[in-house]
Parts: sequence; structure tokens; C-alpha cells
Amino acid sequence: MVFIKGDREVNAKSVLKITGLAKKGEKLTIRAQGDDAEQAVETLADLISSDEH
Amino acid sequence: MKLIGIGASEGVAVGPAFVPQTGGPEPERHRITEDEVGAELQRFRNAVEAVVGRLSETVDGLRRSGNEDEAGIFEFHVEMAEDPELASAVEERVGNLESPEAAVLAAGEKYAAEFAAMDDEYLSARADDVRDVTGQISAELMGRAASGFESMQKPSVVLARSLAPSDTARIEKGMALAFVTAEGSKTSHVSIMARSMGIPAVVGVGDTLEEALNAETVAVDGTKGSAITNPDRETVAEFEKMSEAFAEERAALDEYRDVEARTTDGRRIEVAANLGSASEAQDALEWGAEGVGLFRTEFLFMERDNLPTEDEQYDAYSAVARAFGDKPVIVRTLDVGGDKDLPGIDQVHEDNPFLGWRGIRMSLDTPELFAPQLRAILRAARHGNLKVMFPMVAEVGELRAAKKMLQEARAGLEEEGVEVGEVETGVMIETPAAAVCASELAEEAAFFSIGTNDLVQYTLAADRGNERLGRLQSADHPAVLALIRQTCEAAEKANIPVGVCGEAAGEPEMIPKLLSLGVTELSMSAPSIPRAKKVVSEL
Repeated sequence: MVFIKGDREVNAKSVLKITGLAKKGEKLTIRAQGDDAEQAVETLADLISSDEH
Repeated sequence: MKLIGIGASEGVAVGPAFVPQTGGPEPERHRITEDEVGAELQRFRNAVEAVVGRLSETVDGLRRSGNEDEAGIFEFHVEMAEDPELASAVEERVGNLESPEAAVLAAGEKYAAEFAAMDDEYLSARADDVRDVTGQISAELMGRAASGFESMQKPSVVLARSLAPSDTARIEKGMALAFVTAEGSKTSHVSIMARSMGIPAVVGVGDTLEEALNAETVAVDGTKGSAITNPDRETVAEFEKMSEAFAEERAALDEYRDVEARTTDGRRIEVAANLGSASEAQDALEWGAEGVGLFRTEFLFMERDNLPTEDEQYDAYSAVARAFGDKPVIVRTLDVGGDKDLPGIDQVHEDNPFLGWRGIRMSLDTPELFAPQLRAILRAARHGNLKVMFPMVAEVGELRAAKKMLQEARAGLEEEGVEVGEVETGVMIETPAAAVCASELAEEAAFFSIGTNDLVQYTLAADRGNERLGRLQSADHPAVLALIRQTCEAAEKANIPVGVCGEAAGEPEMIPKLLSLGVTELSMSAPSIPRAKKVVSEL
């Protein structure tokens, strides 16, 4: 799974990389492949866009 | 020499000074040879595993003792240590014949520099966390301690510019007698750790610490916020005596933390905490807080160049609401005046800011400031038991206007389909006018909370900060007691609770007087709670 912001693409398993992307109000794209890719992306998108963190 | 700072954790201690080595580890070797690559990579993986193991133990220990926030920090450290991107950066460097101890530091520094350059204050502060973790892995590779705490031979007073979470966590139990740091505030990691370890701490002593680093012995008073280097024999004896007395008192009070305070004739008195920021909630619960009688919201607005957003406020209020669950949390709306600058608000210079445009007066005039705060409180209320309280009320019209704005905020949120919770509205009784008009206010309010510090200052016309007016700075004055009585009588007639949230609420000699006047709730700084519960239980 990868996170994409602008032209940057980062490994979603890397907390160091993700922290570098963390900023409120900016657009983030998530891409995944595998059996449960669709569900994984949906769950993650919900989690990121909720303000309960 | 005397060091003056902030008393961040109560208690006194005297002992030998210990100064941990500063800066990260220096790699012993920089280069390796081609045929060492495989073995060195294996050593790197082992070192990561060892560091992760130690960090995980720390997480478990903190979680067991209820320090959820601190546990979260170390969990983040675990994830960084195991980070696949960090590992591949190190593998690449080692493949290029760099030693793993140098490679991990260099890779860590790259991320740390990226974090440090971020605009967001919180994220840029994470740079130190990265350095902390990669420093530990590097030290592990070289078979030595990252911060030198393992070389502590005997229980000592730790002196340092600042202390990282991993520093304080690595200190063996019982080895640290106290902390003295140049940087920090009451809410810094070191302060939170000191309180949970039950050892005294003085933070924020500034550059004078540099001169104290060569001291052999240090006496620390974490209650007053001072430390003395190389104390003479008399001072040592005095501190040892104080330390013993403090330990005895604390042990005797410990059993009161979790009791429900009740007088001997069965009157239930709620003993709550005053909070100056959301991060103090966990601590307050550990001291036995049965709620929050005063949650000051100024911390959200201070030391920044923009106003906090509604979401930011929502996060802070929700965190405290969740931490306290069913227990009541009274959120006081913003109370600043001409003595503090608010970004984007047109404040004029005032000669008497304490008699000026502040508290509810300012809030009612600046809906752009007030409405987001009310909205945030209403939204957060569904996560717990929040109440809202207005400061500096001098007439019933102000309370009505504030309630109307709260109603409008609620209507607006409901229209937007945003979930809101129920909040009771109360008045802070801190102007003599509010006390005198208490019966009128009681008809419109769900509770009162008497802010004795300001009530004393306004009733006795004595500036709180003026050192020469000591005798006029106590709530134990007939005029102040009369106003408290009047407030309690009005509250009783209207059948609403009345609390006290000033210094007086935690003073053992004032508690009996306040309760006899009809006060039903006491709110104070958290460490005073066990003592107050004891006083109440013996009445």
C-alpha cells in the first residue's frame, strides 16, 4: 500500500514517511493492491478523514 | 548556588549530582570491508530487535501504571525503530561499506532534518524522537549505553539541559532522586514522568544550570521550585528532615486518593481538579480527582501567532471529556484581557487589565472568538460529561447573552447535522457584583463556581500579584466570607450546586469554613486532592 501526495509516493508501512506527510487539510491519495485492497483503502480513508484521532 | 525554576513535581531530595553525557553517540568505526557486509547487516537487525524489546517493555510498564500518553510516545518509538524505510536506508549504506552504527545515525539524521524543517510545531518537535531512536540503535551496535544512565552507580539527582522520554525511562528504578533541568514546563515529559515516579523535579532553571553541572551534591525542593548546589551540612540536614516528613505525609495521604469524600455526618463533597491544559487530565485522575471543577482554556490560545481552530479546541476538550467519562468537567470559556495578546483580536492597551475588557466581556463582543469555542465544547460534550462556565460575569444580562450565543451555536450545529451533547451552563462567581446578585443569577444558572483568587482581589481591592499586600490576599476575610455565604444561600434556594475553584479550596484550614458556608464541591491543583479528601473525611 502507498500514500501519494502531489508527486510524492511513500510506503504506507513507514511511520517515518507517513509522519512526513501528516498535515491537516491536504489531499492524500491511497493506492493498494491485493485481495482485500478495496476494503483496506476504504477503512483507511475513513480513519484519516475522521477527526477522531 | 541557588537555582530557581518551576516546581514541576512535589517533594524534596538531596543527593550526589549526576550529569548524563550529552549529544548522541559517536560511531567508533565509519567504514567496513566488503566481506563484513553480511555479518554487519545481521548485527543491525539484532540491535533493532534489542532496542524494540526494551522499548516495548517500557510501553507495558507505562501502560500498567496508567500513563497512556507516555506509553503512546514509546509506541511511536517502537514503530520508528522497526521502520522498513529506515532499514532499507541502512542496508543501502552498509552495502556501500559504511559501518551500521554510522549508517543508522546518518539515516536517522536525514529524517530528523526533514521533520525539523516542518512548519507544524508538533511535527518539528518529533525530530528529537527520531534522533533518540537511531541513537539507541547505534549505541546498541557499539555495545554501550546511549545516554550514560546505565553508568549511574548510586541514587542521584539528575541534572540535564533537557531529558528525553527514553532517558527518563532508562533510569533504573530508585536511582533518580530528583530531576533538575534547564528547559521544560509543568507539562514537559520530564515533569509528567517525575510526577508518576513520585520524585521531585525542578524544571526551566535556564542557563544557570551550566554553572551547576560541576556540583557534587544537590538539594532539590520540587514543591517550591528551587535547588541548591553543594549545600552546607545544615542545609543537607534540613532537606533530609523535610524529605522524611514529605514521604510520611504522602504515604499517609495515599489511601485517600480513591475515597469518595464525605464528611462524618454523611455530606458528600466532590473533590475535583483544576486543569491548565488537556495533558494534565491523566495526572489529575491518578491523584483522585472526582471531576474537573475548572478546565482553563487559555493554554489553547497562548504563545502562537494564530487563533486555535474549532477542531483543535474540539480535540482538546474531547480528550479531557473522554479521560473523565461520567465525571463532570467544567470548561471555562476564554478568560484573557489586556495583559495578554490574542492574535487577530483588536485589543487596546489598558492601564488596568484586571478591571478591563476580559472574560465574558470580550467573548460577547467577539463572536469570531466565542462562537468556535462554544461549538467545540458542544461537539466535545457527547464524549463525556462537559459543562460550560462563563468567567467575569458582573450582571445577569451577560449570562443571558452568553446563553443565547450557546443556544445559537447549538442550533447552527444541529442544522449542519453535526452531533452535539448536552451541557449545563454555570457562572464563575469572581466579581463582588456576581456574589451580590447571586439570587438573580441562580435563576438562570445550573451551577456556581466561586473563583476565590479573583473574588478576594476584587473585594479587598488588593492586586493578587502585589507582594506587599499579603494580609489582603486570603479568602479568610469577613467581607469575602460574607460574599461566599450570600452565594451559597442563593444557590441553596435555587437548588443548584456551588463549588470553589480558587487556592482556598485546597487549603486545609479553609476547607471547614467553606463547607460550613454551604459549598458542595472543591476544586484544586491535583496534588492537593488527597489532603483535601482527608480533611473533608475528618470533619
